[in-house]
Amino acid sequence: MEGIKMGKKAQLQMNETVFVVFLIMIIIFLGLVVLSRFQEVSILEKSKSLRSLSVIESTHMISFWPELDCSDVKVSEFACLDIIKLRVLGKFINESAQSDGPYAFNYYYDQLKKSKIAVREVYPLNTSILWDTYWVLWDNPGTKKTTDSIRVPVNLFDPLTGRYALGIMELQIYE
Amino acid sequence: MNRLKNINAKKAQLEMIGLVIIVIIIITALLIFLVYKLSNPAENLQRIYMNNEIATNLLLSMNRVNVEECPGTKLEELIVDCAKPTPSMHCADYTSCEIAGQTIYRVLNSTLFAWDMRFRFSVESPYYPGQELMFFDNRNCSEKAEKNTGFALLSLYPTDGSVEMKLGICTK
Repeated sequence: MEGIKMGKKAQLQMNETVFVVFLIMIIIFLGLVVLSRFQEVSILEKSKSLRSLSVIESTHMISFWPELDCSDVKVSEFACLDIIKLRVLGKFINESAQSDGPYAFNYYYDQLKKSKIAVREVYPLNTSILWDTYWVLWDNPGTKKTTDSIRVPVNLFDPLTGRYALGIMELQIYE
Repeated sequence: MNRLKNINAKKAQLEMIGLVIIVIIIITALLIFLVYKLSNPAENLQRIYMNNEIATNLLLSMNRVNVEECPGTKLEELIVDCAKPTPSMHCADYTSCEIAGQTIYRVLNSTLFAWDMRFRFSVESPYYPGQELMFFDNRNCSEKAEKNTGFALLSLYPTDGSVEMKLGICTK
């Protein structure tokens, strides 16, 4: 009698233990699923943040390129692009890209990679006697549609007339 | 015998309650973590940088621009003249204040208005304290709203003081 009672008690205890272990395993499994989901989101955010930093770096760098900046007696002006230099450099890179020996294109590819950099005059229109209001400095699109873009206001200086206009430099990075 | 059964039953109930409490604590901890994670989205670096660059660069670049209606004159010269108690510059039958206002509006229309950005632009003169010489805003970007702000100061030399230009891009 006593033995049967102890046996039933033991069975109950075992059932209880099995139930507890099963419940804990389910909780751990659910925790792992939630954690992995968060990790995935966190990695995507980190990747986006790094891409944003890359865009910011490129924009900042271009603003201070000696190939483009306005200079008066060797003094560089802040956020100012010389439109003659812009026209010449854009044409030079574009012709290099289409030639057999794309030296210039390869040189700038290290810094600009898959992106598009264009400058557009917004005020006043048609300042330059050359009648240009839109310049494409670099056009190397990737396979995927653009996901990051930045617009930076800059001055556009025409050394032929000595006049300043306002332009927007648009930088798009492709994946 | 019954007493022993009761004792065992109560013990089992207590253990079950203990288990349930542990499960509730774990679920609560997970929920608190979820709420914290979702209420603190990662800051958008690109947007912050772009707003700062737009605010600062637009002010500085705008001031250096040659005004179309006033050949040989930069916008900052017109703004400085407009800020004085007796403006003296005229271009094509318009005063310096009118030309400067029109030019600034044209610039903002091609940029911030066209991009549908929430912003607040103002110009203040030390000769008119507490008043704004010029003011433009878009989509209720109020003075108290959180903004990325750029400043430009134009000297009123040879007199004392500076004209203060502010451009704030609302972040929310």
